[in-house]
Amino acid sequence: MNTTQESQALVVGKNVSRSFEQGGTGVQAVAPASFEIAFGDRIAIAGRSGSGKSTLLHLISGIDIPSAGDLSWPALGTREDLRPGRIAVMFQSPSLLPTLSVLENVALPLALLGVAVDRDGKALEALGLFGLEDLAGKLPEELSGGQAQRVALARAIVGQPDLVIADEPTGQVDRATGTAVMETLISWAEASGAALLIATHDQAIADRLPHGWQMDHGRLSTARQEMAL
Amino acid sequence: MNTAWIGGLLKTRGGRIGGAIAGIALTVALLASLGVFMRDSGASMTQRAITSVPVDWQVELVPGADTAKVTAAIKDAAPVSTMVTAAYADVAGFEFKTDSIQATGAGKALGLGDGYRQSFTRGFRLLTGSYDGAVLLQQTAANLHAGPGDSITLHRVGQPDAQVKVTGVVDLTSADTLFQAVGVPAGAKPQAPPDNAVILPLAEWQSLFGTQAQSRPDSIRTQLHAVLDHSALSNDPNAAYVDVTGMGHNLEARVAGSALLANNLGATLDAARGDALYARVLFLFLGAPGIALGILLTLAVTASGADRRRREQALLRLRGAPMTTILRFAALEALLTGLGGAALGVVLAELLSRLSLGNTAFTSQGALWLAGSALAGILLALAAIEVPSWQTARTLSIVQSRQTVGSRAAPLWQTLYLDVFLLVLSGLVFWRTAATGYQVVLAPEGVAATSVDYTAFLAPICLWIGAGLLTMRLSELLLDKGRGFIAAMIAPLAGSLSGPVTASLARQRRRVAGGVALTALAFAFADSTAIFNTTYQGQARVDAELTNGADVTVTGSTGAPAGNQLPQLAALPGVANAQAIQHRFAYVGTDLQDLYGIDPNTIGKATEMANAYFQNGDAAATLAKLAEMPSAALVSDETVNDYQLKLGDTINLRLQGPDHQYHAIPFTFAGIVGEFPTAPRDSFIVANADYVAKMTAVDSREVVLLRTNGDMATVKAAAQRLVKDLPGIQVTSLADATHIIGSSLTAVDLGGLTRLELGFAVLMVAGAGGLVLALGLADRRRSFAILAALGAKARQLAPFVWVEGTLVFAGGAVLGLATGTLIATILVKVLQGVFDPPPETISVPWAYLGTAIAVGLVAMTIAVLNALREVQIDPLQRLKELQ
Repeated sequence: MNTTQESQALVVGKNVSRSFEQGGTGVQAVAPASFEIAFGDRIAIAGRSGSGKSTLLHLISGIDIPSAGDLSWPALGTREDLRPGRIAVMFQSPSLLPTLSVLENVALPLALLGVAVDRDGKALEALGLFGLEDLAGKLPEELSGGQAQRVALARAIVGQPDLVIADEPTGQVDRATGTAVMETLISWAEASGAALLIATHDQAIADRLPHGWQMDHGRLSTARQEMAL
Repeated sequence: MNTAWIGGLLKTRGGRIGGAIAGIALTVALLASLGVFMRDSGASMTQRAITSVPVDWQVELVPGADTAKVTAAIKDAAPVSTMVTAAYADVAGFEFKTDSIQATGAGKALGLGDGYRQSFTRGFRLLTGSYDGAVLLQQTAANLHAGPGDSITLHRVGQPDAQVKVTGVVDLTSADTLFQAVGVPAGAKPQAPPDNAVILPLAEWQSLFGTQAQSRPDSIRTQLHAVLDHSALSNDPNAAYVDVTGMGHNLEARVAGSALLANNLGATLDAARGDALYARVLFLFLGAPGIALGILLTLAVTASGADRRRREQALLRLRGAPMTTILRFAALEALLTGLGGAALGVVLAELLSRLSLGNTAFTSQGALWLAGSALAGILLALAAIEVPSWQTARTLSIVQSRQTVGSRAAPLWQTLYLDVFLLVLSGLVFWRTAATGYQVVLAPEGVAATSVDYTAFLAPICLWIGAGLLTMRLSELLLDKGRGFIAAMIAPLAGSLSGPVTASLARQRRRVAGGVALTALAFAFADSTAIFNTTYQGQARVDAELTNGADVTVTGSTGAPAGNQLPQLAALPGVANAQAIQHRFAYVGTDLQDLYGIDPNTIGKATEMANAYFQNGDAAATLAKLAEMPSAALVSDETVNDYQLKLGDTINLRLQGPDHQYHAIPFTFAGIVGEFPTAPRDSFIVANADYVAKMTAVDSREVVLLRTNGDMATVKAAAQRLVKDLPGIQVTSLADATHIIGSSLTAVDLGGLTRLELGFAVLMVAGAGGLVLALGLADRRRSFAILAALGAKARQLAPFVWVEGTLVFAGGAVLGLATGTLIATILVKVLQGVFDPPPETISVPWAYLGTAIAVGLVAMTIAVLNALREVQIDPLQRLKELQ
C-alpha cells in the first residue's frame, strides 16, 4: 500500500442495509448502518446468533451486495478488485476444498492471484504461524474442526491482504487455543499493517481488539460496548 | 415421515433422481426392446423359411400302394391345407424336327394335377407362353430349339413315340426339390435334376404314360405333394422344426411299406434353426453390452449421489436413527427411482417398438419381456441404492461416512490385475476359436439338438470388461503419476492454477477414471455395434448381389439376349455401370453345367468381385489370369476333384453352336471358383466371353448386370419398361434377392435392431459423457462456491471443469473407439458363419461415429457449461444451500 492509499479508508458504508425475502415476507438482516474501516483497524463485532453479523461481514467483503445505501472501498478499488488479494475472508462454516491438501488449500489464494514463485513456501510460512506445518500434507477431512479453522485463517493471511474478515475464527477451539490464535493473528496484522474485522461470541477475544461493534437485530452500533450475548 | 422424506428428496435432489430414473429407463427399454425384437425376428425367420419351401411334403407311393389310404394317413399325421398328385415318367429322349433334327438325351415327363400351379407357387418362372399344355424346361427348349406352338416327340420307355404340343417354356428354379430322389438315407449325395424335362397337365400325362406304367412300372413314380397348415406351426424355428419332423415321423410310421416321405419343410426349418440360433447369439452379443452399459450407467448415476447419501445417513445415525429407518429411507428412494425408471422404460420400449419395428410390444410374449424388464429395473434401483446404504450402515463409522474423498486403497481387481488377466484370457479364447475355424454354432443336420459354443464369446466379453478396467487403471495412473504431465499440458489454459487443478483431479482420480471408463465403454458399444452392423449390412448386400448378380440384373436367353439392349440399359438414369455377360450351358463330360462368359477386366465395375469367391482368395489375381489367357476357365472344386484336374490342363467343354448342336471347345483350367454372381450353388464354369463367342460363333450376351447410383427400384422399373417387349426377359433387383435367399441369416433385416441399438448407443455416449460428468460436477458445487467466495473468477474456475470434462470425453472416446474396433473385429471373426461369403475387412461407419463423437462432445460441453453457471450464482447463497 502507498501513502495515498493509507490516507484513504478501506471501507466506507453509508446507510447500508440488507433485506431478504423469506417466506413471502421481507426480513431486514442489516438495518441502515454507517461505518468506516481504516488501515490497521482491529475491530471485534459482537452480537447474538442471527443478529446480522455474518451478513454485514459478507457485505463488507464484497461477497454480498447491499439492498440499499452506499458501500465503497476507497483504498481498494471496486467490488471486483477485492478478492482474492485485498480482502480475505474466513467463513464460519467449513470452507476448505476437500480435494486439496492443507498446503494446497492455503496456497490457493496465491494461485488465484497468479503468484508463480514459492507458493508452497509462503503457504508453509502461513501455516507455521499457527503451528500447523505438520498438517501440510493432510486432507481437510482428516482435520479436527479447530484445525480446519486455523488452516482457513492461514489461507486468509497468506496473500497479505489489507483487510482480514473472520467469522467466529475460534468457535471450535478451547479458550487457550483461541487466545493463542488471536495473538498470532493480531501480531501478524500489526506486522503487516492489515486491518482485522472479527465476528465473535467470545468477550475475551473481543477484548483483545481496540474497537468493538455491536449488532442487535440487524442494527449496528459502532461505539464500544460490553458484549450482550 | 416417509412422505416428508420423499417430498424432500424430490424437492432438493429432483435432478439427480431424474438422472437415475433416466438411466434405469434406458436399461429397461433396451432390454424390453431386444426381447421384442428377438421375438419378432424368430417369427419372421420361421415365416421366411416356410414360404421359401416349394413343396412342404413329397410323399412317394410305393408301386401298388393304396392312394386313398396314404392320403388319409397324411391328413391324420399333419394338418394339411392342400394335396395334389404329381406323377413322374422316365423319357428316353426328346426330339424336335424342323429342317434339321434336334435331339436330347434321357429326361423326365412331369404330370401335375389340377390346381397344382395355384397351390405350389414357388419355383416356377414362366419365360414364355402359358401353362395350358406341355411346358418345356428352359434348357430343354434351348437344346431342342423349340418354343410355344412347336410339336415335339417324346421317346417313351418301352412304348411308341408320342407327340406333344409345346405351350410354354419355364425356368424351374425348384427342380432340385421336385425331381429329388425320395427315401434316400440322410446325408446321401443329392441327385442332380434332369437336364431335360417337360411338364404336362396330369390328365395328358396319364393318357401318354398310362400304358408305360403298366409295361414299365419301374420308370414311373407317383407322388402326393402336400402343403401343411402353417398357422399351426410355432414361431420359433427350432420348435417348428421339432413339430414338423415329429409329424413326418408319425406319417412314416403310418405308411411304412406303402409310401416314402421327403420332408422338405422339415429340412428347411432344420437349416433355419441353425440360422435362428446364430441370430439369437447375434442379438445377445450385440445387445448385452448395451444392457451392461445401461446398468453401469445407472450405478454410476446413483453412485454419484452416494457421498450425499452417506453424509445424510451419518447425520441420521448421529441423531440416533435405527438401521431400519435408514434402510427404509434408502428403500423409498430406490423404489421411487426404480418404479419411475421402469414405467418410463416400458413407455419408451413401446414407442421404440412402434417406431423401429412397426408394431406394438404389448403382445402376450412381448408383455412378458416388458414385465421382466420392468422388474429388472426395480431390482437394479434397489441394488444401486439400498445395497450400498446397507453396506455403509454396517461397515463404516459415522466419521468415515462423512468423508468425501473416501478410501485411497486400490480395489481388489487392481491388486489382482483382473484387467490384464481378462485381456489375456480374451486373446487365448480368440486364438482357440480361430484354431477351430470359428465353428461357434452347431446344428447337425437332421438332429433336433442345436448347440452354441458360447465360450467363443468369452473373447469379446473379456475384452470389453478387461478394456474397461484397464481404462480405469490407466486413467488413475495418469491422474496420479502423471500429474506433472497434465499440469504442463493444461498450463496454457489454467496458468498458475494448473497445480491445484491437477491435485484436485488426482484426489478424485477414482471417480474421474470411472467416468473415463464408462464413456469408453459407451463409445466401445457404439463403435462395435455400428461397425458390426455396417459390415453385416454390407455383407448382406454382397450376399444378395451374389444371388441377384448386381444391383439390378436383366436376364434374357440366348434367343432373346439382354446384351442386345446394353447401350440403352447403360444410358438409363441412375445406372453407374452396365456389363453384359454370357450365361450358357456346357457339358463337362456328361455333366451339364452353367457357363458364365465375362470380361474379366470390367466385370468388377458392375458387381462385387469378392476374394472369397475364388479358392485362392485373390479376386484381382484370378481375373488378371483370366484376362491374360483367352482360353482360361475357372471351374468348381467338385469338377476339379471329379476330373482330377491340374492347373494348365486342357478341358474340352461342349457348347451349343449356331446350329444348336454341341461342339467340343478346348479350355485351359486356370483356377477354382466357389461362388459367382447369379451362379448356382453347385458346379459352374467362368470363362472369357470373347473366347466363348469366338469359339461357338454365337456372340449373344444373355445377362446384363447394372450397378446403380440412384434409386434401385426406379432403375429396375425403367429397365423393365425398356425390355418389356422382349420375350422371357426378367428384371430383378437386390430387394428381390433378399427373398430368394430365404432363411440365410444375412437375409434377416437387422434394420430394426440397428436403429434401436445405434440410437441407444448414442444416448449411452451422451449419458456417460454428459450425465455422469454433470452429476459429478454437481457434487462439487460447494467447492466451486468456495472458490468463487475466495475470489476465483469465471476464467479461473473454468480449468477445474474443462480439464475434467476433456479428460473424461477425450480419454473415453479414444480408448473406447480403439476397444470398440477391436471388439467388432473379433465379433465379425467369431460370427464368420453369419456371413456368406465372409467379409474381407470390417466396414467403419464414419458418419455414425462422427455423430456419436459430436453428441458426446455436446453432452460434455453442456455439463461443463452448466457447472460453470455456478460462478454466476451468489456463492453465499450456494454455500447456505449446501450446508
